[in-house]
Amino acid sequence: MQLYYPSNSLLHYLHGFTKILVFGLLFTFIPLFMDRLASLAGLLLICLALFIYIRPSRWHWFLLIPVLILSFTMSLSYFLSDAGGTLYFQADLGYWKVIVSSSNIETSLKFMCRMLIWCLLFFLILFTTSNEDIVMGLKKFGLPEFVTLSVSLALRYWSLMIFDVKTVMDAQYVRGVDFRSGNLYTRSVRFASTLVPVLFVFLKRFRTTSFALTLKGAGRKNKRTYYYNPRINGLDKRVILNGGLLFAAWLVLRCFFTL
Amino acid sequence: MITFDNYSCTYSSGKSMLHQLNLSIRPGEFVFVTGPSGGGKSTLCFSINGLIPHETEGSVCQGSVTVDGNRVQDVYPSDLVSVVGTVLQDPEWQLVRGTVKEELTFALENMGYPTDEIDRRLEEVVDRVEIQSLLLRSTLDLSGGQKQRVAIAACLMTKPKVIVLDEPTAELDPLGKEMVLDTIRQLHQEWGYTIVFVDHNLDVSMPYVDRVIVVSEGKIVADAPPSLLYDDPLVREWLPMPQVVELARKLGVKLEDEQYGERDPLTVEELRKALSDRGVIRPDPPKRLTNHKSEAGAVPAGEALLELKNITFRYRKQEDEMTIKPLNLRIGRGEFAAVIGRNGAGKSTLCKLITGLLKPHGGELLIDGKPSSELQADQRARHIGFVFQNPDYQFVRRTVYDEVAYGLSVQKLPAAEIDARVKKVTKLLQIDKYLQEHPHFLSRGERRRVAIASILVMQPEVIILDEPTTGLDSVRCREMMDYITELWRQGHTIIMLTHDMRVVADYIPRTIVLSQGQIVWDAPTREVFSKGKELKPYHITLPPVVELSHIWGWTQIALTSEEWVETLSIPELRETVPGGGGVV
Repeated sequence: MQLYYPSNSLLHYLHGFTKILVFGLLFTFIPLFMDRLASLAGLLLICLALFIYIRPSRWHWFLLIPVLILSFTMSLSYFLSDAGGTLYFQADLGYWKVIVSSSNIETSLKFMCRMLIWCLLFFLILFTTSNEDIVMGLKKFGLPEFVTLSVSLALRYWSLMIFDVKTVMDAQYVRGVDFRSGNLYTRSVRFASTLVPVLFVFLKRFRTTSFALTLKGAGRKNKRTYYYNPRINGLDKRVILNGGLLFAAWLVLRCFFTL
Repeated sequence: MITFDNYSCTYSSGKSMLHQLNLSIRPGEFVFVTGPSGGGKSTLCFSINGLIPHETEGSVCQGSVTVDGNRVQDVYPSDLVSVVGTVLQDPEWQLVRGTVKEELTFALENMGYPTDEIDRRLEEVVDRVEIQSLLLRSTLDLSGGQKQRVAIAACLMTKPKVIVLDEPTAELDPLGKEMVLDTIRQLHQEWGYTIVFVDHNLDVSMPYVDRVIVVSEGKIVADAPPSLLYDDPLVREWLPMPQVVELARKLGVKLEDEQYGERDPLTVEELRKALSDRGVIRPDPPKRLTNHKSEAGAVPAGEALLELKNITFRYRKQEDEMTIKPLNLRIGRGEFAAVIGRNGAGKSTLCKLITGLLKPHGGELLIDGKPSSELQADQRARHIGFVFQNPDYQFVRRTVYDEVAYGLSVQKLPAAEIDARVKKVTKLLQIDKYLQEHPHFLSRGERRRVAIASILVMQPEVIILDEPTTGLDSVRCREMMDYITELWRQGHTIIMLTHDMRVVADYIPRTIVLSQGQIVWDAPTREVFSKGKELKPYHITLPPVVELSHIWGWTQIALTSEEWVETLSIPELRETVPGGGGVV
């Protein structure tokens, strides 16, 4: 499973460093300094517009479904506390107390908006940046070689690891272990049992990779060459400048207004 | 080029892997290393590239290994990169970068080469190994054969003097094997690399190598040119012969050779020539072949146990084409069928549909007359057992006993019944002496048997085996097939996915050829193999006896060495083969 897909949007042409800095850091912090639901909704719409602009495939759109489910489920936890405001509904379930009030709804929606914004920003980076460009982007932040190599290996192998876990589950299913039936405890126990084969399979795989890295000269003491080393161009500089100004402007405005 | 001088290697567990090895490999030699699994072949490879002792914790070495003047124990493997290139067995996990181009440049980047030199070498290697079209592709999208070819190309980038290949074709289909072997042959013949090639498949590799070294129990038990290897009676005990050599020896046929005097033929063409020299030009086909090992003792196929009616399936990502096109198949009780075809033909998908791991898009699947959709996972497991190619995916318990009993405990059977069934099955598969061992620490063949036992114990009506002989040496492969045949003779219905055509010819009476999600042929093995050249487009490489039968234009082909030899030893032919009658 490859998240990156080549296309001709402006974001596809940006350097990995630019995208990580602007979308991964600056834009990620802005929602934390937004207090009004309208502001968060506005930013969410901007992110969604950018997402549409990069023209993701149908399969990439499907990835928003688990994001929506997860953010909605997590936002429900806000109905277990009393945030004040107009009370619409209350139910006492012993240890738990469910409260639906105007403030609870607002807090919950804000949380959902933030989650969705962060996920969309994350997708914007991953869908428009090849693994190699992400690694080069991280390298520009001054991260040491072993960290960038680890990130590159994680990006290379994560889909294979998911495939291995799925095969382990399949191997248990054909022995009558159904992960879709039974109560929560039974399912958890069954799922936990897959960890043993997963661990053994991964240990063997990682051993191969470790040998392969050594046999390809990884970890040598000499200075490393970067064969692929894209430069930060004018477009990147403009995007970084505008992103920085936007972030700074938001912080300044927030000192004077409730945004 | 490579010298082992009184070299011994012992692992931290105390297990001695190589004992006082003395070996010298000359520059430009193509050395084939073979022998039983666990005999020390990989240890020998890792002692050449330096992974032993530097990367294998607790390994203790005595004596020395020298490669191109470098004492391996004194040089770290990453500094030996420009001397020894290595290709490992696992095609997926040895490629560490995202695209082919990144993979090729990675080692030189690590070595700090300037980019213009990397460019120059890249152009040269890509041209040599003919992978221009793959250069910008993701390593995830390549076939197994292409991956190994990229791994070989990545080795060549550092201009090594020696290339060590540790079972590079073990996990590949016949097409992938051919692709990799072609590349290795080119490396040797055209560019003169010194090659150390570890593998089990003698049938394919023997004709091309200069020398065969047989390693067993940490010792070199034979070291000879391939055509003289079986002159040593000890080797005949240790190592089953490739089919061509076996046929030649059974008929007492040798080739005249200037260098060696008399030698074994190594290819079908050489065997045909040797027989032709003895006057056997085009012998008559066998009159009637019924006593084939796979046909003898068979339980006649009973009522339909599995019925696939117009089954279709498509993976979500494949929007244009069906993976399984409308497919009809009937498997009767007590049948033994092989499913063959190239990678991607739909073999695994078909089995996943039968086992319920995938749901068909259309059509109907009946198991013992009932629609499969009505069965829960545990009910289905009682009807159909699926043994995965890699047994490591299966094992969840700490002892062989618990592992085999696991499926039964899920079904909540009484302890006494579980105990009785586990003991019966482990005895049948001869793993009863390992009941208290950890399944992950057994040998590959034993692990496979534990995996089969853990399915067999649930007494399924059908057992589906995915490549049960892959990666096993010839002796273990035969043992495994004997176990499977025994299960079949006891009345189990068996479906086996395999790429090993010799196994199909020797053991399996019914063959189903799949291509692009459709059944191309479904008939007795003899009938399918009679198609000869028609099988080529499906990347099916026929065993030497079948090939010879076709060369001689036999309408009734021989499937096994025994059948073939029997035909040639009928009285009128025996006279034409000098000494043949006595040998056969």
